Amino acid sequence: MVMAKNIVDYSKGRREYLDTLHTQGIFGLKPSIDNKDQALFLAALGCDKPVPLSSKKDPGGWFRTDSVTKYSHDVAMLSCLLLGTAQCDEDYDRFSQLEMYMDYVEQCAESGFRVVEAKLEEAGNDNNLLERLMLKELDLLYTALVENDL
Amino acid sequence: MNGIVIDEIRFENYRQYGTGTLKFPGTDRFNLSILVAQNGTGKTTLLNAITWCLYGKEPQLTDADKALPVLNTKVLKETPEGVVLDVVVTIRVIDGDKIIEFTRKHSFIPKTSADGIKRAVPGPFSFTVATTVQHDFTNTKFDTGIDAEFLRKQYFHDDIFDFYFFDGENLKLFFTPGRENDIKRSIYNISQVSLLENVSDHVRKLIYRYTHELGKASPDIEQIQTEIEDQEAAQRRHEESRTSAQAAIAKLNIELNGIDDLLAKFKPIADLQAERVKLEEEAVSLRQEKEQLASERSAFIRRYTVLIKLYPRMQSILKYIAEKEKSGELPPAIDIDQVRQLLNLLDNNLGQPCPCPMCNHDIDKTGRDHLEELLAKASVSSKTSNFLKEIKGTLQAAVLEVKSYRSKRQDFIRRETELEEDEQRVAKRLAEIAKILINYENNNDETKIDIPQKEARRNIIKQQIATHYQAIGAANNSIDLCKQEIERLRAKLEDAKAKLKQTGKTQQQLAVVMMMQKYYSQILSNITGGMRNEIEQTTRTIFETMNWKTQTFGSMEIDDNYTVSVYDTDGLIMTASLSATEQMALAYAFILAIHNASGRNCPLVIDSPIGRSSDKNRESIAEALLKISEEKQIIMLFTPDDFTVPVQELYANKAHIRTLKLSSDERFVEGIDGNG
Repeated sequence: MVMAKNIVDYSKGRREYLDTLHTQGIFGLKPSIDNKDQALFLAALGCDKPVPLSSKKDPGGWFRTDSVTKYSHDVAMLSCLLLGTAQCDEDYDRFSQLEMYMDYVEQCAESGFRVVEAKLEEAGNDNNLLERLMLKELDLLYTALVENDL
Repeated sequence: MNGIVIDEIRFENYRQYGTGTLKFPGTDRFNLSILVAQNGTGKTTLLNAITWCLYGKEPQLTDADKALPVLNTKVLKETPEGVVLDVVVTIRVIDGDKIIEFTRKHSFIPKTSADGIKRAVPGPFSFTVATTVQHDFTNTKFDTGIDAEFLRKQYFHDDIFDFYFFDGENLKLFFTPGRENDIKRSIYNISQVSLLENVSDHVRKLIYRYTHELGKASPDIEQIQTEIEDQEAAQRRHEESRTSAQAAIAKLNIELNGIDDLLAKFKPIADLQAERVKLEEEAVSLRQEKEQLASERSAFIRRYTVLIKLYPRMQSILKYIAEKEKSGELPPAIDIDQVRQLLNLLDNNLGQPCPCPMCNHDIDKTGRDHLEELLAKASVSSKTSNFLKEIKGTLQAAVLEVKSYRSKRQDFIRRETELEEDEQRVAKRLAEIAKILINYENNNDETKIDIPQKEARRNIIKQQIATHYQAIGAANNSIDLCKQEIERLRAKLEDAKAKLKQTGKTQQQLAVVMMMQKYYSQILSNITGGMRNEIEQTTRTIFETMNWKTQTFGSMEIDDNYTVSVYDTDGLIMTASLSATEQMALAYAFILAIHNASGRNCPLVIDSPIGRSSDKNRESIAEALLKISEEKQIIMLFTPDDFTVPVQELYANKAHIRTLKLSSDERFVEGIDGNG
């Protein structure tokens, strides 16, 4: 039987960093927010430049994403990160494999941690400022990625 | 009528109640007694008399050190020096066929001090419980000391008395942050798991001891265990400082309410004070709304970061699906996985015949060429096709959702601007009122209220309360950090223990106590969890009956930390958006649920039961309390202003109503049997 990969690992040291984000409520993150949504948010932040885990064999922790094997909504959102980069039929066949797209989510989320670190530093650890800067960035991204496409 | 009933309260020389009796008869259907009295006449003193009798304390006093003695001042004045005076309060309770009388007696001797003022010098005191079975008055049992306290705990447990005797006005503060511990402790008490907790605590100490013994053989374990104990000690210290800050806030709030009452009844500034109370409530509500908006803003950012960043990818997938569907390739006409398998089989058979799965004839070279041609033309596999069909709907919905970004963003900006304007308006007006009051010159000789002094004190109290709330916030953060650290250290300890290959008696003992600890924790969690579920359901049922809104509230939840959350019909949390009266209704519902779960159908004595707010919920609360009085005795204390015509009409002929007033020399309450 093939074990479904339904967790998203992260590197050593990220556990403590995530605790800090939770304690400070950065981007409103807190332990009660679904692990899958936390992973997806970080992956979206880091999807431009996915990076492999620094310690893949001995991860620092993981996000539970059991729902990826249960709900088509979660399958769609997590898989589209990789599937959206497919160039040909063969890519679509390969990238729709659970193991493959979850590995990619993991790499994007790993990069997402770095993005949060950088943004938080830029905002001087002030969550209010961080969110205001993020909203400005979203405005620009919306124009560039969505409105220009309409 | 079931339950325990306060039949009468007897006073002897107690404050302005002097010597007399208050009886609380019910009607056939309802057990509801109402006392109507102006502020300062003795409403709150009645609550104090009850808690003084049962527990020897008067928590409703603003500052016990600066309060008059419990001995009636007129009696004190008129009694010669050296004569012993007793202050006695007796609460007569009926429980089925038993009559129980709780009596507290405190003796005083009047003595004139060097400053010429006659004071009451306190002497001995006693607490007695007399139990008599009805129809057998020849055999009354008297208990004192620990036995008396034990009986009192059976009826009115010390730790939860503020769920029985309370000021309705304070209910608005019932669910303020930081009160969870009180509520949790109360639930533990009524679940009667405190004993289990003590045992569990003892077992925990044994675990420490054995672990230390094992640690001598393994310095790592010893070190980690010491770190855990340090963290636990730190956590307890933070919890204690949080508790003391909470207690200080409660005390300051009582003083604040006292000043507010004083200002409210001083006619020249009554309107100003009423406006300020309303504005302060609005300020709290705006602050909560702001927090809620901040939380929604964070969720918005997280959601739209995902949607906008993934938009090009989602569009690319949808475009691909659309193209494939248009060319009839989705779903594919052939299963390319099967074609690939067949070609692999032909390659591996090395020239041997291979049958076609459709017609069973051997596949020759022409057949093979045809298969390769099919594979070259083929699109995605059936599996991928199914996968794409599965995700298509979600991606289409997400693409639609992303397009609402601008309008939702504008909505946030609008709400933030409105909130800021409202906050500025409220702050400006509050500052104006404060300025008027701090400079107020009271030319009314009769009242002698020093308004600027009261106002200055009020400002100090407000600042102190804010400081205590900051301390609570800091303590909560530190507690969370300690908990995280303890969890991490425990995992580390388990690892270290697993590595230790030592056997022997200590390890066996440790294994046993650890198992005991695990089971105790499970039992504790099961009992309190069951109790919590019961309280959650009852709270919701009662809350619904107390509210006139039928389309707003969706569900209710009490979490592991005993935080009560109310959700709207769309599943959004709205606890912080409840109006003051809705918060009051929620607190009532919760208190009554606790009564229900405790299995003790004790009476409720409530000062200002419906508060001063005036909306539809006020009537709903009054009606719900009337209904509850069919099952449980309720004694309500109203001011004439609060006892409005609709409330009077509702309670007419259903409640026993008594009006209290002060005697002309303002030393006694008139309207009770014996003083009037």
